[in-house]
Amino acid sequence: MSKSGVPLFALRLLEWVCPEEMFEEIEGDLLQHFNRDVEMYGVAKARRIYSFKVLSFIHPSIFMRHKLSKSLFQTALIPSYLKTSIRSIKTNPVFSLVNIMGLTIGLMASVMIALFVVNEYNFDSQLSKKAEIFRIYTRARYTGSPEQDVALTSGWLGPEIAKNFGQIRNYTRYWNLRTKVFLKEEKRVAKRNVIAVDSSFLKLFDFKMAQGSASTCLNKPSSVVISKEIYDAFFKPGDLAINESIKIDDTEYIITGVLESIPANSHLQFDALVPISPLAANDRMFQLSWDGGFLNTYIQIDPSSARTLPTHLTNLFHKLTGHKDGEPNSELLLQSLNDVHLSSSQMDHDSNNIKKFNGQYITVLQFTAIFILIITGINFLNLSTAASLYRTKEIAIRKTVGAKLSQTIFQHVFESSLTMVTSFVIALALIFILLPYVNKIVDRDIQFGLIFRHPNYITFFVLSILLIISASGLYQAFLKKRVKVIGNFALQLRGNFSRGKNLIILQFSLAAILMVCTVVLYQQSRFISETDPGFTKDQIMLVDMNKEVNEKYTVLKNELLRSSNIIGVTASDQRLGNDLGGWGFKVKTDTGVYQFIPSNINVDLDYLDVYGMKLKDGRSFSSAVKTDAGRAFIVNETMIKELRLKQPVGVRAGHAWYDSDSLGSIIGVVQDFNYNSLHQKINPVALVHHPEWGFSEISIKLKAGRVNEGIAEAKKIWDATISSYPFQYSFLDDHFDTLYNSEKQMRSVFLIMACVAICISSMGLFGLVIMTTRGRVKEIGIRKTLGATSFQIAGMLSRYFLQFIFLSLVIACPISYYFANEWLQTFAYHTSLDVKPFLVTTFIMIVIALLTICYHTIRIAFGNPVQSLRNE
Amino acid sequence: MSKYQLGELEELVLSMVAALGEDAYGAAITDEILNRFSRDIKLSSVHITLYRLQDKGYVKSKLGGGKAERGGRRKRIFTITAAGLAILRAMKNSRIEVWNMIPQLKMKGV
Repeated sequence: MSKSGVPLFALRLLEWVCPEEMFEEIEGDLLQHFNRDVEMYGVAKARRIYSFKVLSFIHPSIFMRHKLSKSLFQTALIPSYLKTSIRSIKTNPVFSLVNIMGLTIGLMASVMIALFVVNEYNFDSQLSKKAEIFRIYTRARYTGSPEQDVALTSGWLGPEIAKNFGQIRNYTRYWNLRTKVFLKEEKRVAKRNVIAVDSSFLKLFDFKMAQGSASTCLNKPSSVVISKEIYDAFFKPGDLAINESIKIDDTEYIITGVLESIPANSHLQFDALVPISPLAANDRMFQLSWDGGFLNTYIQIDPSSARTLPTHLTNLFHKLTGHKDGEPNSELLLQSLNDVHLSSSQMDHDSNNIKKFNGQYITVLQFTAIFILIITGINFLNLSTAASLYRTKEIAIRKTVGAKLSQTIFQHVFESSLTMVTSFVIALALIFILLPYVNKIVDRDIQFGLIFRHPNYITFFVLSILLIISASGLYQAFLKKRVKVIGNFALQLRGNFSRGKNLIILQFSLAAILMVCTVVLYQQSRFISETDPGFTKDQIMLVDMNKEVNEKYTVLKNELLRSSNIIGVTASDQRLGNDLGGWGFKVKTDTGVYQFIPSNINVDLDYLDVYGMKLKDGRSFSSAVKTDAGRAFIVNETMIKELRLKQPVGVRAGHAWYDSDSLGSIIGVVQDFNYNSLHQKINPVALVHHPEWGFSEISIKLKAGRVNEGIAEAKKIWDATISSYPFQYSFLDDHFDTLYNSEKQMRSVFLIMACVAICISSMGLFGLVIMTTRGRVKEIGIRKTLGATSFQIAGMLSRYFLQFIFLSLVIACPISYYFANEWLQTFAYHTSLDVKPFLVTTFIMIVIALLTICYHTIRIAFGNPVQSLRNE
Repeated sequence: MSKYQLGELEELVLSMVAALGEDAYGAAITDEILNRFSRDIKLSSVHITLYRLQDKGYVKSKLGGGKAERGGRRKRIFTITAAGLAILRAMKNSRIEVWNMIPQLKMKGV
């Protein structure tokens, strides 16, 4: 309570509202009335009346009389602030540099992550009907196997469900015919992704067309819509390609459309489209009796029906295929196009979904970006505060000359803004320059302008920057309040360092967590590449086969084996390195006939030899035994375990459609091999030999070190023997690598993030060191005069700071252990979590911390105590 | 001479300023109006009106004379200007002219 007894709050309010010229008289008048009211009504009521009267003075006629420039911005002082800012940068270039660097790195990292995340969310966004498009996938539960989601559906599904369900506005099938050779006027070009689609495809997926009409181009049976790349290969720019003829694998087609370049962020990437109906009419795979899935089906529906439709689809599927109990339990489900890119990591046989990414990693990335921003902001605060310790004289003078609190705040906000804006501009420029390299690392096509389509992110960054600037400005201004102007402006800043310490610990903990996770990521990667998958992955070349190749297979094989660079040739109907398809299988044991669906693969006789698979029991296929074709089965250990067979060799077994009385038998047991990524458990597998079915891929094992020669020779032999199909090869180990694409990208990202976190934390530590050692200069001077050696001082200071590091590590360990463990559990086969990552992290952090603090510590510890004590 | 007509409160306050002479300041005018006419006008209204009148040039003001009862805060004393007097005179004349037209209000000796 003031002396006069008027309510202080009201008085302050009045002072704020009234312009200076009027304040005194109004205050006086109110006081006069107040005193009179006290006599008439007593103090309490008088105070109430006073407050109301003050409120009544809040009127535009009063507060609009403020001269605007005075109350909002101190524009007059800006040149002075500018001068002192530049001066402080000149006197402490290291500091300012470190500060700006820290800010720039932090901002760069966050914005980069934001760009990546925005790009991921942006997949397929150019399709106008994206919200209504859904993909049908099959969830299969085979006895003895965990349930699996497969992106493939039956060939007849699309038309059947469209017939039966009115909610389905439109549908299209997407069948990858793989590699075809395009021939026009003697020029041959082979393309890997030729797709057969329904005529409605371009209505659902409205890719832009350079020539031709989207609604009619796929109506006629022999039409083909070609990509821009094919157009460029055969035509000159500006040529009309419509109605030109072109041969695809020796069949005449008429070009009815040319597509513009398919955007990089489309999950579907293809080279040409042909109509599917003529192919379906003649193919038994499209008959109702064929229930295996082999193509994608997309439907367009009102999103609200997405919840109930799957059940109807599943029921129809069971009805049409006549599935009874005991046979595979399949369910049809819908996946929204919004989820196809990010939520398909568990989806198998999803090779048409290009560059898919695990959406859970996106959340992790977003949190990391926020953490980095937080660390950066805190750092900036600490460092700026530390820097201002050198400017106490300036502050004291400003206060003497009459700086108000608002002016001090403005000054510091101004300086923070300068630094911030500089860093932000540099950060953006650096991102612009580095974007192509980042794109290479993450295998994407991120465009800078993309972020403008997501104003949320822009708002987030602008707000964060404003927050950091104002927090820093306000924090420092309030600190300066405590600067007392005494004598010769000695430093009287009694720092409250505990907050600074906590922040450092937080920063280092976060950095430690990131580092441990990075090490674990690398450990698991090494584990993956070093684990023996149970077969040879290296030097295996895979070559596509067509009908002609199958017919000439034996000839080709013999020719190839004559080369000294080729040590093995075999063939199979599937490639290792993804889930293996399966079909019904029967095993006749003492207890009865047991039917289930394992994974099956049709192989050539010497498959096990070429791939180096180990037999645990029995024998491999042999050309000498005629019944090996179709009646001999080699199974893996998992199947034996599941069936609990004690004497597997000789047990009667066969395909589900074999009569139970005329089955073949199991001739051998192969050691379990990881045919899929290490995420997945190994299923029961049956290797069968049916040369009459045909194979789809030749596996050529090349001699180590003679790979290039081997490829050249194989190509020569191929070209001499095969005329209708190009020599297209790939390598099995590359194929396996793609299984771990998400992990590889995460590895690089985590490494970068860990480095960023360490950098920023070190800068924070740098600032803290300066603050605390400055405050202890006197103490150290005294210690030295009392006889402490410089080394002892250095040790004492180092110990003081290292305890923060240890504390951070203690905090970080359990947290990172938890996360690392969770991630490792997503692999069915993983390395064990041992102490190595923690040791490595500890070591690195101690080294970096010591490096950071050594400069200042040594300077102080070895400094002359006379100097520090002189200013007393 | 401007043709502006003063509002009712403005006229009242201006008149009080002219009447009170050296004691013409916010609180005093408010109290005087309260005592003479039993009109409880808010202090802030009076102040605002005074400032408006000053903006229009009908009064001028000066800070002066702090008293103990005001804790030493000075008062702003308002004085009527020539323009203010002129407009008061004009208003008085026009009022009387109108009132003279009303039979029941005929004034004697004006």
